[in-house]
Amino acid sequence: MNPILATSLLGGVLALDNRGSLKLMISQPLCGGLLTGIVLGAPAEGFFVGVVLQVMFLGHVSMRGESRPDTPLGSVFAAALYILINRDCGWNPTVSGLILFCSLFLAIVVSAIGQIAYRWWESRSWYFTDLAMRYVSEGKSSRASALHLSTLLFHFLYAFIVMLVVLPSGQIVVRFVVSRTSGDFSGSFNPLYVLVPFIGAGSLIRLNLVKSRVFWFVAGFLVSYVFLLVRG
Amino acid sequence: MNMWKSHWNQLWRLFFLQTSRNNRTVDGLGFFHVLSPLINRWANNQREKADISRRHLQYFNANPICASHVVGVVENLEERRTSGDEISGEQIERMKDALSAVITARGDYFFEVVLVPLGLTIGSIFAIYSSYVGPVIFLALYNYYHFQARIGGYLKGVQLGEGLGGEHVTNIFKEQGFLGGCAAFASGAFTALVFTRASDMGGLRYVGWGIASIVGFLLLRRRLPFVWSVAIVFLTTFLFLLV
Repeated sequence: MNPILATSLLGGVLALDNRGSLKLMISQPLCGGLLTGIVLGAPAEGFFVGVVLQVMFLGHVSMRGESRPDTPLGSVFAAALYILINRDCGWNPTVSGLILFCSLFLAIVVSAIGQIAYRWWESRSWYFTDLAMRYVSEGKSSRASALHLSTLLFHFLYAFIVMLVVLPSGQIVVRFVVSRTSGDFSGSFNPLYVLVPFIGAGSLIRLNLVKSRVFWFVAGFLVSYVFLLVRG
Repeated sequence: MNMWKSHWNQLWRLFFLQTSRNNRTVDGLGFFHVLSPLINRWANNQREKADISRRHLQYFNANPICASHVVGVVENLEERRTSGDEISGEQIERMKDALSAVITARGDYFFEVVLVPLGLTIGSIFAIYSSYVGPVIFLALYNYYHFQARIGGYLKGVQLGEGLGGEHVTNIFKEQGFLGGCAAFASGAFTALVFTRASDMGGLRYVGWGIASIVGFLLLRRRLPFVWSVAIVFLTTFLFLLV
């Protein structure tokens, strides 16, 4: 199957887990990146990108139905872009850092746009409830019930179409950036995966700066730090 | 086995409760969708069927995982109302609203603040060492409580009815304190791991940048949404590597 079509289908399926409230959590970047890698025949690389994206969003908490960035779609997009471009470049280690940066940056943009799109959807989708109310008054309960399930199609199609459009465009942009700049910055972005987790550490610190948890956070830090130093 | 069979129609629907979420009735349509196969049984005529349907199409806002408790309780009350108990529609609505508020507060905190960060942090620690065990641990830990709350919560609600509102809700997720401590400990371990890796790869320069990233992120989060704070710190990290 065409890799873009395959990843678009995967994006659509993961959107059902994320937005359709299935909530098995296979759509989290940690799993989404790995699944994309499996679909594209490079599980280790997909997993790597998924993990890097995941650690940036580790401490994100959404309470009372607050909308969240569309990181599931972002992870599929980032992993697919990273694998496809690297494959084109023959897995050249001098450009893989730059490709990783571009993939992750575009994934953050896709995640932010997804969040805005779903906020828009939630402000409009009361139309389905209104229609269901009308069907119920006319005695067509099963039709009202089917309306609810039909919204799953929106979630699937949104992710599917976004992937279908954004992935080829992303490939063109990243290929252009890599071809123009790779010689200038060869290897400079390779340590990105070591520095990016500090964002996740920051969000976790913020999450644990409460009286009931700060002690355990500091204990975890000290014990692990000493353990890692001793172990070398 | 019989219990599963008789509730199967509600159980699978519970997993799609939030699909049609909107700003006006939130998950009202989803709530109706879960109960819709039972409404025919509860109504004596078309008019009553429309009344019950309209009632369950109204505003409903609950944590999608814990909403199953509320669905179970409402089902229990409607069944008893059908079999002749003196329970009015208003009473059912009041119970539904009160239970949703209480159970959502517990569920949001347990799943969003404790369980997901705990699972993801442990998963990420393993994943940093390129171990596929990370996602497996995360999925197993999360889904153990997820299925327990979704399926167990619904069946408990059907069984106990309004009785679920008292002691059960107080005791729900009683591991919360312990798991919260584990989540904080794992977060500390993750932070230590990030610092040691940066120190091994780039010495003080990387550690210094790491501290600056953390401080920058914390300051940005006071003013900006999460995703924009991440994007800005990510871009400045890019500039740092470029320079």
